[in-house]
Amino acid sequence: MMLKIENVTHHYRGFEALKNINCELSPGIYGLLGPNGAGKTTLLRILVDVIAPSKGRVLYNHRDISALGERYRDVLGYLPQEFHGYRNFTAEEFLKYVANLKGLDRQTAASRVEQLLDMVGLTEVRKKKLKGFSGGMKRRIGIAQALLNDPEILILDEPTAGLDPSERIRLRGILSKLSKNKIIILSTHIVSDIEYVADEVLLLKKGELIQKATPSALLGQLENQVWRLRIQEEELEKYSTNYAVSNVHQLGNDIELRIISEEKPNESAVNVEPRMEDIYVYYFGTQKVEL
Amino acid sequence: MLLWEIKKLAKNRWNLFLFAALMSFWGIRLYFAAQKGADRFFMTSISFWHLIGSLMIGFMILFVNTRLFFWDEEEKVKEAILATKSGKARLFLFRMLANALYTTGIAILFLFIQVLGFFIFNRYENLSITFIVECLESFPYVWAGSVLFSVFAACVCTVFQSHMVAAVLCGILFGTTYLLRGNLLQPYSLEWFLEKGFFSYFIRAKDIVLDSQFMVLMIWYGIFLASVLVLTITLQIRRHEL
Repeated sequence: MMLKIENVTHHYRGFEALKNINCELSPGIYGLLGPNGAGKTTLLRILVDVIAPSKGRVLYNHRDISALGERYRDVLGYLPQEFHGYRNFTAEEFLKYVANLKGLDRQTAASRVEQLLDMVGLTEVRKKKLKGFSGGMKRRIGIAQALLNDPEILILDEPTAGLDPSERIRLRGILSKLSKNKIIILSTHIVSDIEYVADEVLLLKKGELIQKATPSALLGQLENQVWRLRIQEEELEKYSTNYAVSNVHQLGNDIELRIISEEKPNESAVNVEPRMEDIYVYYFGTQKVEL
Repeated sequence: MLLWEIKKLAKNRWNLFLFAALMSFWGIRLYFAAQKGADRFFMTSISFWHLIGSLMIGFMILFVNTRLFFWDEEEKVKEAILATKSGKARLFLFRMLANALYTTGIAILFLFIQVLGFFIFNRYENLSITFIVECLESFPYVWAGSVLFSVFAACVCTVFQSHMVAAVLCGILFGTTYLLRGNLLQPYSLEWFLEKGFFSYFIRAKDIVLDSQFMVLMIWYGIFLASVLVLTITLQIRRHEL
């Protein structure tokens, strides 16, 4: 199984949202990382055939997804960035409705809905209308609907938004379990989610795919370049102007900084292990730090 | 799929409100008409579609049926639905079918309310047969007008991707027939088309059988609706939603 993105470019009213993206995806979990406006959602919408690219194409097992149409969507599961569900449907009704659209017969749909409600921890509220659901519960229903047809390609746009830490851990567990023989692409702002589950990370910046590598390879790039140091409060301005700062922690009158730099920033700086957040700051920068 | 779409239509809370409004208003009207003699009662009973019946079916189509074509967007599920196996052309087709079937159901239910009202309040003999004949004669036009209008409104909603725009635009076109005086209009003038050309004239079931311009109207309805359908399908294909 293979998903190939071939020279994909997309324009929105003159703005180039994606610039000549090329990439091949085989079974595994891919984390899509990039700042707001990088083109992540646009790329995902193209991958699920909700929009067509201005140029280029997406191939599923060497066939254009636009030509495959229903046959492609049959193996697809998608959770969009914004998802609420029909407010006057119960959780169970809504999932059965989507199951019907996904071509599941009544019996399969019933057992699959039961199984997925259990998986996302919503069995107890199955008869409750979606209008009474919290943001996190709606997100879980969204994840369940994406999984209804046991998709070969699962695309999740910010699946952990609104989930509490235990729900996020549960989702990560679900994704890890599912990843065998599936292509799972998830886009998120929560870098740690990608760090824990992704086999490969795609970094998208201003519509361009700037990196595709395993988390360990990315972290390896910052080996010996991440420093922890203590400074006085008045020095913060100088450091945040001259270095990429990935964390600031107030410790009494002092401030502990985490800095990405090829050179040791000062004598007291200690070299530390890089994390995914450092990668994010390294590639995408950060807002100027102020306390 | 068809049943699910009909179920979604049936779950709309406007259904109950409009049925309640129709039944109360019609009941009160018939009650007072029945006090004023057989002729008045008969004329009121057969005038059901002229105003209240047609207006209510118009509201029903605009507030219940048409919303089906914007609901996914409103409830933020559109993209998830579009990414399902049957979420594009097949769903659009089934929604159109559900729309037409539901409209048929509403028209039949309204006819039942008209007939029921008649038999509840009728205290005059020899009116029943004439009334039933009048009802059956006008109903095919009412049904055809309603279904055509529901398809038109669904297309407008899909084209503009806004329920509000569809309700206002179709509401204005639907409403012109109540404002213009048909017998004073020059045939085939702009006003004539405004009065008769947007399906509500059929739903009102006014003198259609006697209308010598029936064929012209049928051709206009056919060309108009086919154009709107072609425009809708073309736009939806361009939007990658079919």
